[in-house]
Amino acid sequence: MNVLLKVEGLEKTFSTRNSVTEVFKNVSFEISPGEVVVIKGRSGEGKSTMLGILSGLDRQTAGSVVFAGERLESMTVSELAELRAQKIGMIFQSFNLIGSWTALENVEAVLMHRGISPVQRRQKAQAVLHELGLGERLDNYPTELSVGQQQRVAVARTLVNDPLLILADEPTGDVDAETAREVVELLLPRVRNGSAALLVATHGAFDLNYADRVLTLANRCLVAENGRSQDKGVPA
Amino acid sequence: MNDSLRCAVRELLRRPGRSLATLFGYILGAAFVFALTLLLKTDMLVKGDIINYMGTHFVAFSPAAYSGDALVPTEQSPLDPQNETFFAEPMVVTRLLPKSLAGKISEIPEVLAATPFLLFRFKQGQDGHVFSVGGFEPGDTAALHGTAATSRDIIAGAFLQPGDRGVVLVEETYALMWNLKVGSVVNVADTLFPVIGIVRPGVRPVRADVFMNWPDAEAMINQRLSAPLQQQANLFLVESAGLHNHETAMKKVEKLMPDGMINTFNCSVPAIEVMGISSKTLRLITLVVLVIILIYAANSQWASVVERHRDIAILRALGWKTSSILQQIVIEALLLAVTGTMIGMVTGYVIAYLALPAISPTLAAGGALAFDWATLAFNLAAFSSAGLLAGALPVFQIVSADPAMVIRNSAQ
Repeated sequence: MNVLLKVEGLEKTFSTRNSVTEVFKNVSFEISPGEVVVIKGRSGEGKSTMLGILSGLDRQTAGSVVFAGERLESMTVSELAELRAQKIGMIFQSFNLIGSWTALENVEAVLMHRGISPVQRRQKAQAVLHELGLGERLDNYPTELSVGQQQRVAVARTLVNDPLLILADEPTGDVDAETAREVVELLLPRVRNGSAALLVATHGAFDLNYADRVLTLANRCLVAENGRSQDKGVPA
Repeated sequence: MNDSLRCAVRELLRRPGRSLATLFGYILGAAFVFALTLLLKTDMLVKGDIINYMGTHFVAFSPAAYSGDALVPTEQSPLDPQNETFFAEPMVVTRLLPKSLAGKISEIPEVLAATPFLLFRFKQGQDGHVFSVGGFEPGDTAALHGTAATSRDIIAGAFLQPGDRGVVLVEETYALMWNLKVGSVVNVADTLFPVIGIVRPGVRPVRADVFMNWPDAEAMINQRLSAPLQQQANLFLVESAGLHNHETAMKKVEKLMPDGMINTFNCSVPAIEVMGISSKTLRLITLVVLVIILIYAANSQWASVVERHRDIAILRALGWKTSSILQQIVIEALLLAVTGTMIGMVTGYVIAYLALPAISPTLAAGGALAFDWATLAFNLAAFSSAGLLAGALPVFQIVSADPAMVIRNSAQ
């Protein structure tokens, strides 16, 4: 199976005026299309920081990230933004919809500034929202939607650009178990048909039965938990 | 670009309260500053006209030659030199020069007009009091109005017309002293002249008690001279071609008259200084107001960006480039600034136009407001730049933050 994401010797430290804080080090793993990989760890272990690096929003201190054949550390901020817009879908804790935008506009946002005509953009966003059962709520603002509907808008926004990699930061953290299950099941078809991979960062609320592999981030290192992967954790 | 424009318009309409508040700031600021600037410019133009009127004329003459304590006798010596003489000022006796000199003076480029003038002191035959008679070419008023008298100085009766003969104008003070009214008669060289008008010339370089048309003045003066005048005058009244030519005009006239003197109030110099102080103060006030309003508008613009820092972080996480975000914010800022400033300037013009008569009837009488495109362009540029900076600067600040961190913190 082709490797979609390859992480090698990843390291991140934060420097303040008086100290240097090591978040994690020597993190290495790979993800292939069709896989669901969970990174588990307690709050503050650096899961979100790692997702930030993998999405190109943040830079690592050392190591390399190769995504879809492109080395992220050698790309410019602008190129990374382009990469996110075209190949990466992000889903956040609390969904993070833009409150003053309608459901349709929230989904359409991902396709803006990419040279896609407004008509095509609108049609594609509408299609995804219809697919997720929100055809009647296109012009509603997030506050006018139930939590479940908001979560589906967030999923639609993640899927509308047909991403190769879906990064989910605590996607089920703020919702009940049923809603959490819905989120995952809406994302899974795209993963299981091999067109995308799903990487979830969670402190434990995510149902690990959906995961092909679980990696645990503890003591600044990543450890393979279920032994299905070839990732090698390096104990601190 | 189209996406940015569409998004910018949508954002402005989405936050009508904030957009209107910002727009109102620009309207208020532009209206106030534009109105103030227009009034200031109009004030300066009108003052400039007044200064031109008051300060750009002078009198040229040649002092009489003395030998010891006595005047050097000339062909046309006064019959009673103790009491009667040609003069410029009470203690300055003048000599006669050819009238044609006025034509030569008029040819100087920096001179607008020049005219000859006779100023002679008579002794009244009946009671012996002395008084002055000014004789001028009645059709030649361009140089006369600033230096001696003009029809606007009339307070009773009428001004001398070119064809008038045997009639005089009298100066207000002289009329009061001798209880003269329109219709009274004045005795000049034992000839009686009816008074047709009384004038109040105010402060002028040439002052006479009685004004006559040239032929009458020449005839009366001839009676008091040892020989008649031969197309001669003792004063030349000159009007410079504007304030900026005044000094040069005086220098060139002095060159034409080697023994000549120039008499001018030169009130333009202190007037310019006073006007400069006044306009500097107004400019300072305008600048202070401009800065205050710009800070208000900029603050409003700044706040509208800062309150969207979470939304901007989400959009960045979704793949929006910094340039796209910046472009949209800049368009929003420009739309508000340009629209607000344009409306403000139209409002400012209307305010200034309506306020002008109440502020200064003199300015209002001066005509339309001193509108100019430079002021308009300056206002537009100043307000747009402020809006642009206020919109763009927080974007730079926001995009320097880690969007993932912003999203996480805003969720907590």
